[in-house]
This record gives sequence, C-alpha cells and structure tokens, in this order.
Amino acid sequence: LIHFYKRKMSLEFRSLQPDQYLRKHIEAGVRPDGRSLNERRPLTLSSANISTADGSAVVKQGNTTVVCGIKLELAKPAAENPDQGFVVPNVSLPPMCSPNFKPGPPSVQAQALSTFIRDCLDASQCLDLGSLCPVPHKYAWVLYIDLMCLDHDGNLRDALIAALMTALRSLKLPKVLYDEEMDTVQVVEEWSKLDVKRIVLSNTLAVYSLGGTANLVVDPTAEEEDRADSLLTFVTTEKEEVCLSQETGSSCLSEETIQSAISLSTKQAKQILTAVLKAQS
Amino acid sequence: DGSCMLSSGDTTVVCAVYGPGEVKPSKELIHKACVDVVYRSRVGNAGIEDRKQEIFIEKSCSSAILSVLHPRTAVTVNIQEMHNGGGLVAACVNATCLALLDAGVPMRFLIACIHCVVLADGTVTLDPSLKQQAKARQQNGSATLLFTFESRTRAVISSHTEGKVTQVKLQEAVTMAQSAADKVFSFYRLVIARKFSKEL
Repeated sequence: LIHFYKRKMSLEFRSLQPDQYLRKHIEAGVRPDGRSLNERRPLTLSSANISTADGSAVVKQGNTTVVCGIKLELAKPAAENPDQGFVVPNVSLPPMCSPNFKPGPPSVQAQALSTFIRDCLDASQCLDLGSLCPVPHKYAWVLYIDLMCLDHDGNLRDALIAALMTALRSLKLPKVLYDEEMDTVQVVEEWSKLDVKRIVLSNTLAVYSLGGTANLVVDPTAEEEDRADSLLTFVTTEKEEVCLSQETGSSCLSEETIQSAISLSTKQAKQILTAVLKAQS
Repeated sequence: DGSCMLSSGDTTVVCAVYGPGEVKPSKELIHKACVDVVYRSRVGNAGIEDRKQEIFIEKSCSSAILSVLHPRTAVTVNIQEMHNGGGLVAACVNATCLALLDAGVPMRFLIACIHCVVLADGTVTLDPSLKQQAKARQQNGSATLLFTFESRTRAVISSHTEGKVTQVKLQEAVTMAQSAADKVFSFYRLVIARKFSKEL
C-alpha cells in the first residue's frame, strides 16, 4: 500500500514539477526510465522490409520508431556534376508521431532534419556518387530517400541515421545497358549492392548543468530532450573520425566537457555499429 | 522595433526584430517567449537550406534572450540576405544580436558568431571568402566550422561543424575564433556608442 502511494506521489511530482523531477534523477546518476546516464535504449534494426522499395529499413530505439525507404530512378544528371548521381533525402514528421506536429507542409524541424541527413552524407563521403552514373551526361541514378518517423520519443537524429545506413546497405542496383546508336537504356535485373564507403553513426547527448558541472546524458527521450540545457550531436564514421557536429542550446560547454562528450560518443557509436553490421549480414 | 544592416566585407545582411509581441496560439509557450526566425535568401523561393540557418540562428539567440521575462509572447526576427561574400550565417547571427540590442529586448549576454575553415593541409582560416568556403566543401579532409560565443565568459553556446577535423585542430580553431569574437564584441560597443551619441 505504501508502494502504491509512493508511486502516485512520484507521478504527481512528475507532472507538476517536470524539471525538478528530471534533475533530481540526474543528480543521482539515473533517469526516470531506470537507465544510467551512459546507457542507450535497446536498438532494433531490420532491413529490406518494404518489398516495393529498392532499399528499406525499420529502426526502433526504445519507443522511437523510424522507417526508411529508398527508391531508385534514372534521371539526367545535374549540369554542374554530369558524371555523378544524386541523393534526395526527405524526412517527414507526420502528426501521428507526436502531438507537436500538425498536418500540413513539412515543419521546420522536418526540414532541418532533411538538411542534417544530406549534410551527414556529404561530410562523411559515404557514397561514391561517381559510381552512380552509368552514362555520364545522360543517365544517372537518383536515390529518393524517404525517412518517416512513426513515433517520436526523442533522439530522432540517431535513429534516422541508423535507418538510413541500414537501408543503404540493403540497396541493390540493377544493371543498366546503354545503346549508344539508339540512345536508349535498358534496365536488366542483375543486381549489385550499393558501394557504401563509410558507415555513418550519429550520437546525441543531452547536457544538464547541475551545480556548475555539466552532466552528459546519452540517448535522451522526448521528455529529457525538451528539458535539456543543450543538445550535442556527433556524427562519426566507423573509422572513428568525427565528420559533423552540432551543439545547440544555452549552456556554455567547457573544453573538457566537449572532449569527454566526443570520447563518449565514439564509444557509443561502436554499439550502434555492431547493430548496423548485424542487420545486414 | 529594432533593425540592423551589417556588412562583413562583401557579405551584407539586413535584420529586423519585432517584439516581445503577439504570438500565434500554436507557437505560444506558457513559460517563456518564443523566438521566431524567418530567413530569406537573395534569390529563389524559401527552401529547406534556409530552415537550417533559421534553426541555428534561433538556437544561438534563444540562449541570449531573457525569454522567461515575457511568457506567451514572441520575438520575431526577420533576416534578409543582401549579398553573400562568404561567412553568411555568422553575419546573420551578428546582425541579429545588434538588432536585438536596437530593439531593447532584454538579453543575458551578447553573442558573436565566427565562421572558420580548416583545410586539409592544416591551415585555419577565419572569416573565409566564398572561394575558400567552396574549397573547404570539396576538398577531402577539410572542414567548415561555425561557433557562437557569448560575451561574459567567451564560452561556446552553439556550434556546427561539417567535415573531418582532429581534436587538436578543433581546439586551435576555437581559440582563434575566441580572439576574433573579442573584436566583434568591441565592434558592438562602438556601434551602440555611436548610435547614442548621435541621438543626444
């Protein structure tokens, strides 16, 4: 009976004073869902789920669920890069994933995440775009990458990048036969895997400044993300090089905090890497 | 309520700030003011690239503005790019800070944004030109870095780095950018002093 009352009081505390509730947990080195500060939520990856897409993946990170689908199309390459294919990433955050999103054109967060995905692909040089152009100046592969969040429980960046990498690794390109005299292409069903040069891994940390020290919290949930002083994202490759980093928020981070954040991210990235490699065997 | 036109070399931006004022009910926050940034580039319709700039500028400003003093209101920031000669986002953030000062929006500290580029051969260049920026994007092993500093302790409030850079080079870039931020802050003092001496 005492246990029942304790739980009821803790729920009241959680809704009346959410900031205090969270900070008291972090001071004690634990989080409301029982994880320690360095613990990630269980990550489940599955690939090649969507039969109509050329590459696909579904990622579940705790409650956060993201689906990625990639479609291939042949198109005329851009004039600036006539011997390269191109990638069109699109992140959509539909109203079903969170009460923060309403129906209508893509929200600012969705558009910012789309540019984040594109920047990660560019900065990591994960794809060799030159290999995606079977006929320079005439025909190039376009990868339409659609990422849709089905459930937003925080830390979308990590889930989106994990889904993207799993889907890219499951992607198969058909063979293209070009008839020069007739200027036509024929797509033959002889499949080859896409050459993924680097595996991109993202790691997001929430920072809470409590009593002058900055506490780093790995893989924040939506509740933790909203109340964080700042969010740090480090995008690394499997070779442990940081290719993109973003820090947003109001807390001023010292050099030591940033250093420890980078080393923490690199360690966490290894866990994600093993999951990504296992998903596509 | 406040405006500013800032030129940093060839790069020119115009910034207008309204607020704290009325807010759309969908964007209303009950415990603080919401900061709404609208960025328009010189040519073309509003695209998704602009959203990325908007979010970066908004994150840098939200930490500076004392938003808890004005709950259920909005501080609207409108930025128009006039010319891009390199270091555009940094110029936008700096123009926003000056416009906020002009509008009299209460702030915790001033912010200065510095753009820098680390090339593959290890040279760190501050405030790069368009050509240097393009080189950094294309070259393998080079990186583009953006840092926003605050005026009290010169700590980094927000940053965005793209490209591979070692820890040592990153530190070097932060230190160099910090000394550049000092110059930006003294520039702000100069501008505000000039403005008030005219009004007298």
